[in-house]
Amino acid sequence: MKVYKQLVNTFLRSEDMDAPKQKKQKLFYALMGIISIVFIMIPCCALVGYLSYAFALALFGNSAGTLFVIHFISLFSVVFGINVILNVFYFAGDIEFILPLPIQPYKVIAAKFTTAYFAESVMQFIILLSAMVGYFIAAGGNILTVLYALVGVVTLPVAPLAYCGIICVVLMGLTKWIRNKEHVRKLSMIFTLIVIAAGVSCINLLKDVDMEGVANALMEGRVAFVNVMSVVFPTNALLVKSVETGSILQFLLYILINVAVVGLFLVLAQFLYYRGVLGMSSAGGASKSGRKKRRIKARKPEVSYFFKECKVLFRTPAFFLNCIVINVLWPVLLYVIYAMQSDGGIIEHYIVMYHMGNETMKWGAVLIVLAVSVLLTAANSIASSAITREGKQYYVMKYLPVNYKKQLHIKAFLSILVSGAFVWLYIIVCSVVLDVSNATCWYYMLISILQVVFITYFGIYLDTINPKLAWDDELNALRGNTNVFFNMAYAMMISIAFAVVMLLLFMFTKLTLIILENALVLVLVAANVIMIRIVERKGVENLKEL
Amino acid sequence: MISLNHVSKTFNGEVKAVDDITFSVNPGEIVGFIGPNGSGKTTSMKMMTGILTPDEGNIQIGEYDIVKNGLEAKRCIGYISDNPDQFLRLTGMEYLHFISDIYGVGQEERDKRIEEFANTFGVKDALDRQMIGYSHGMRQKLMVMGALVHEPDIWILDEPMTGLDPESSYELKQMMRKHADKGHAVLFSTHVLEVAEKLCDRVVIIRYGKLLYVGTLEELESRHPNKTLEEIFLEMMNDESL
Repeated sequence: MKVYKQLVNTFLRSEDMDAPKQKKQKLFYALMGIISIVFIMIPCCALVGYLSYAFALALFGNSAGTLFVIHFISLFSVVFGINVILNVFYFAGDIEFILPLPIQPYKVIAAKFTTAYFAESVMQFIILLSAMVGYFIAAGGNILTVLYALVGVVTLPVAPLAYCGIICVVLMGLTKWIRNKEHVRKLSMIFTLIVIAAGVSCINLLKDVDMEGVANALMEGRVAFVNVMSVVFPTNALLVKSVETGSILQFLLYILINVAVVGLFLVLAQFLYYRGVLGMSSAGGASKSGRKKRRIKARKPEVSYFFKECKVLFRTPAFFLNCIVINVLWPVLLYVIYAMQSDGGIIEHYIVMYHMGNETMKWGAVLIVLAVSVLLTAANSIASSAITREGKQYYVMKYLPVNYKKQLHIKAFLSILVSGAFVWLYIIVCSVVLDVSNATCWYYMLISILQVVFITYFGIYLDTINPKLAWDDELNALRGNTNVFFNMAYAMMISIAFAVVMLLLFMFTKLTLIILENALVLVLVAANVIMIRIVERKGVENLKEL
Repeated sequence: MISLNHVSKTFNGEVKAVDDITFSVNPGEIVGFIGPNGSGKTTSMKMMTGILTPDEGNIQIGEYDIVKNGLEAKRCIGYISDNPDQFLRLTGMEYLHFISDIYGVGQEERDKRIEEFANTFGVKDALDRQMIGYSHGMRQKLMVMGALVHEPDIWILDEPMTGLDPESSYELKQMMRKHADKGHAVLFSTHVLEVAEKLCDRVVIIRYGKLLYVGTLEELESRHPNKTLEEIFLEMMNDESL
């Protein structure tokens, strides 16, 4: 137990991201923390809590709706957990120091599992708590059921993470063909995409069903997603039922199954973990470049630096998944929203109103374009991890004879290029669907790129203040990186602020849509000029002080 | 060619890593930078290459001040850091071309030099693989090649022999000697006293961030008769009165 505790303490310490040292930067970080709570955590919790509340209300206190919400959280936990577990168990830099130590594999794996659990589950605890609170508000409860719920909030993430652990340990320990670092990372990426696709397919089953229909289907056990997930995660069903009925038997069974899953995982780890790790350490790394023997031509320094950035981003699986593939998820999200609409749902209603020439709808489209541009740019974290991605070798940026301003602009350009390309693609597709005029489409593209530029430079500025440079594996560079989180929170804040201010202007002034649209462009240009100047001055100063 | 004047560096306002050091490396010289771990060698070298900014004093690289004319000064330097794990997602060839692009090396020149280096260090077959698959020694060879591909006048090498096989290590030492003989400057840090003894025209010995000695090894040995270089070095490291 002592060894386990020491290992957990050591692993957790190495997960931490240092806080900024200067007073001003500390204050700025505190402010960003508050923004994150207000614009990410509270909205997420409110949404989950409301869903749980609405289902419980519609089902007269039945917990089937809450179970539906919790299954979703578990599915997400597995999707993101696989990558995390693989990195923590097999790619972390501490492995080569641990291997020679006389410690039993199950102790190492238990400590690593605990570290991953704490690092990954904090946000999940809060969301699960919101789901439970939503349920209790609608259905009521007693001390016992509240107690069950509280235990559940802390223990529900255990089983999904243990499943990830079992899958990883078995695959890595038993299959020789997988023991190539690049293959493993690519496979985990494919797995993530498959699970997302499966989730979307399940959502698709809800198509053409309204809220009442969903509630009835849930009540009658006709929702395939819930039925499948209840088999995969029996713990979720048991916990939710025990919270609903107060049954101690079901609660004890819930605990027992959790213990059994973790026990099975540790037993497998005892036999297979070191085998997998040793296999990995003797396996090959990156394979040959596809451009063998091609003569590389001389380029300008700036162009060469840009291509170097591209290669790092596209060839590193963790960066590729989190910074590039994530951009593809937006249409998936839109599809989920669309699929959940019944005939005459909000999207179709919106399209009809738009074509009827409703100005509010047209202005709404402008705000949606702005929001999507902001959120996509912030979510892909290309900008907010621009310096972080350099890692411990960040000093290379400092001894190369390329000035810092130029390096930051090149990094920004890459983010603008990727984010802008995806945003434009979506805008063009949506413009075709909405059948808007060419001029309108060009206008959407203009304001979207201005937003992308602004959020990019803000993300880069954030990352120059306090980049997370001490990481051992690439996923660790992005995971737990507060800059990525803060950039998203800031993006949410900006989106909401824009929406509110512009809607108020539209509704309560006599300004026409054309004037407002032009004013918006001017505001965005001014904001960009200011933000770029900040990066060129303060960002460069921050970089010098690293 | 390299000149440090009363240079100091403190970290977090507490730890004085480099304390008022003054020395120079002249054209045609190989100077060994010697000191125990944590003595301030790497910090000093990082200041010379523009990675860190000195709190006090100034550093001249060729005719440029590294703080005031950073870019010009950096173009004169070939630097090998103490960690070769850089640009691991690039192939060896891509890395060398990237560095060549940054320093503005022409197409024909770079192709010729890369070919020569690849033969010298025996890495020709590995150049089309990503460096993440290289061994530590292979990565170090690529770092050496990258530092020298633009034919800089001034070489600043932080423990360059670490991880190199004997053959490559020998080649690098030969290259250092030839480079200095052409009238250029080489400063390198090392823990191996025998290397310093055979290769250096002068040595700089540093401890706790302070200079203990600057001069030739012959002078140093003449001050401590009947003692080996190792004994002299150990004595200096343990003498608190210095």
